[in-house]
Amino acid sequence: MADLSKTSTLDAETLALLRRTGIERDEIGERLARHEYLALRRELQSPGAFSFQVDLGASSPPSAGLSDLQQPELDFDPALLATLPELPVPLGRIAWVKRPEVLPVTGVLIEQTDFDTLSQALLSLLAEHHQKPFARLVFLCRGLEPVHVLGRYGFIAHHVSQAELDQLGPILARRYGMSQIWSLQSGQRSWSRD
Amino acid sequence: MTDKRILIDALEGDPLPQLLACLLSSKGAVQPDTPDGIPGPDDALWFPSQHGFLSKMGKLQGSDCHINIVIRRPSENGGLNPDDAEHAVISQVAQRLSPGRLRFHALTEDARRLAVQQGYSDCNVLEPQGAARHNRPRATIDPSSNRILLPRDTQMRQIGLHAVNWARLSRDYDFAALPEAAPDWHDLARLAAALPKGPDTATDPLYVFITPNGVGIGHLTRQLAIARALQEQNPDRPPRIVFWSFSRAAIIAQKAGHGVLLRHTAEHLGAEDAPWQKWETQAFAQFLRQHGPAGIVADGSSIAPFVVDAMRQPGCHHARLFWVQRGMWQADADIRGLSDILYCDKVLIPGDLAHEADTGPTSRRNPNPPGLSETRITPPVTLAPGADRLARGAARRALGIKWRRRCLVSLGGDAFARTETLREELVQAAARSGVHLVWAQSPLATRPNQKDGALKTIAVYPLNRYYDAFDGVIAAAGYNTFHELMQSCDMPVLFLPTANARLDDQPARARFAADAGWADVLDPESDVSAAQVFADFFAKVRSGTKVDRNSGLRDGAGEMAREISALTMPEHTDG
Repeated sequence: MADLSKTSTLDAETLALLRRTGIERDEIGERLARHEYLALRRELQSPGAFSFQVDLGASSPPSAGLSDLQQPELDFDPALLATLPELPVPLGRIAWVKRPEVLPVTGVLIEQTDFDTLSQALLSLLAEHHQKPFARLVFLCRGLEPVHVLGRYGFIAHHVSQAELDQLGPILARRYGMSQIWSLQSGQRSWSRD
Repeated sequence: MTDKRILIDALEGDPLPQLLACLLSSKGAVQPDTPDGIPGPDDALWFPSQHGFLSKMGKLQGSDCHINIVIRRPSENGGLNPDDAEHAVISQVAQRLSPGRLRFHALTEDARRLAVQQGYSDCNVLEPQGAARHNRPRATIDPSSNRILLPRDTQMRQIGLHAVNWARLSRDYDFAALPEAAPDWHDLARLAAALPKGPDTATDPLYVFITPNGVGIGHLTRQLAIARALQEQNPDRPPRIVFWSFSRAAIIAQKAGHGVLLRHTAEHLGAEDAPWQKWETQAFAQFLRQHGPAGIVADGSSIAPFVVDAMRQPGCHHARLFWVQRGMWQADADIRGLSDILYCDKVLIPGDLAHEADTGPTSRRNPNPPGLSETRITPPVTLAPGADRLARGAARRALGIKWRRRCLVSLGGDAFARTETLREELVQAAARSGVHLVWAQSPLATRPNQKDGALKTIAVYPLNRYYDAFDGVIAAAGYNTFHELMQSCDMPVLFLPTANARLDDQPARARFAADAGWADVLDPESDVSAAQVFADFFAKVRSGTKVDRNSGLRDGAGEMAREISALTMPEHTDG
């Protein structure tokens, strides 16, 4: 017969260890997020955060006739869209919460703008996101310039070109459970599922 | 083409929807039907079998679309059976529909006669229009072993019965079924063999390059080189190129003038693979149906399942599939992807100057069944700047570099993080030697901490345009950088191979260069200290040493482009 008092002691020790591990994991998660946020802030505050000099010379002819290229999902039949499952959205590495999946998914539209304005607007938003994560953000970029920076910090950035938000919104609502899209520059709500 | 939709009820394991999509594509926009989709009055809904129609009759109540049913002869999966009561049910449904809304079709005259005997009196035989193809090798359908036999040269190859889209296969093969196969297989073979010539000679070919999310930008760079060669070789009708990019550095492809569709991996999203595959498969299939690319060029260690699955969907048969598969895999690399050779039209292996040092799985012939594919090894592929390469003075001015001994440090994806332990030693050794370091920053890498004010960084692409600004280079031994440096530079090079690269055996490549006298290597397995290696290297940089590598620059990208053109626009190949 098992010695219940001994088992009870072992279980208590195991439980304590697990609790300590959980606390340490939380602390490490928070510290890592702090470190990532500081790196992002430093990057956004440095000149030319989004600039990357690409010069393939004169010997690279452009691909003509692709000006109307858009993400295939925009042409999905609604009946097909309805069959597709919801996908998760990461919180981004600059923030940490115990259960990110309970946060709503919000779209952030980034219009084409000068890089200084973009840096300042992103810094403002992401400082808030770091301090008190309020949503899982999906960045909807009119241009590709912000993608490599946001991607480095674990954010999802879609390239939406000139797609209409009324067309885009329902697709992202299905894909991510997104309920709203806000404009980074104006701070206004640009689309809502309701 | 009109805006009319042609919806095809696609049942997995039945090749007829694939053939129907090819047959009907000139009559409207073909797409698979969805279980809950309600067709509109202008839509034409096709059921590849009477059984499919019977199982979906419920959803057609209230819809007044045009319904087409292909009456099939017997097969292992069913088909028209004289004893079946289903034709009586279908006849009753037909009587309730308004005239002309329901049409019956058969695949052959024999099938039509049988259908008429069962009461489908107005049944017609589906006849492909346009020029049928002749004198092609014969693909033999063997349902009993679930495979198709394909003659290739003097060998007989085989592929799973449903491994690839039959409409894609029908461009290169005549079809026949083994005599003992059920009648329906003979009917399918007859239709497949009679399909008209496909879009091989498109006037404005489109290629889609699938760029994986690599550690660095090697895949993207290699694809840009091939894309440029494709365009340069076809100046009269330069192909359009779209990058289906999982790389966060997609802006580079856009700045090169190509179309870009930025995508996200399951890993980016933190998603399970299966739901992510569903989205990606449908998105890629939509793209294939909408744009009908002549070729898909995938670069990586496998062909992503979403590509294969999408290409099997009805209406997605146009493209040929090219797999750019770099060698020098590490000995313990995951080799499961090598079996994807089955789905490709051509496997293009960019040659590696260090191939003699390749001891991994790619040093041997791929043991997997080749299916449709041929394999071709080309010379090394690099994005050579050619006439755009800047001379020393112009390169230094462009980079803002002063006139001193300068050494470029280019360590790939996350250079500063991976080399933290070595960086101090490197910086101190350079300072002792009077050599100034310039650190190349990848667009995918975190920016270095600028509190280290002595750090001179550059962020330019492609870096090889600017190589002549430098008196020496310290680099990782990834495929692209290695071949750029070994084929077109004469300054001293020190390789710091990345041992933890996912697949690439950088240490083997770097050691090969060292053995050949082309470069130095900081080998962790060597007894020589890092400090000593750095000191010896910087002495060469300081003295302006030139290295004769005599490896020559060969145009692997051009050869790959010619291979792609030969299959996708055969009458226009310039080589």
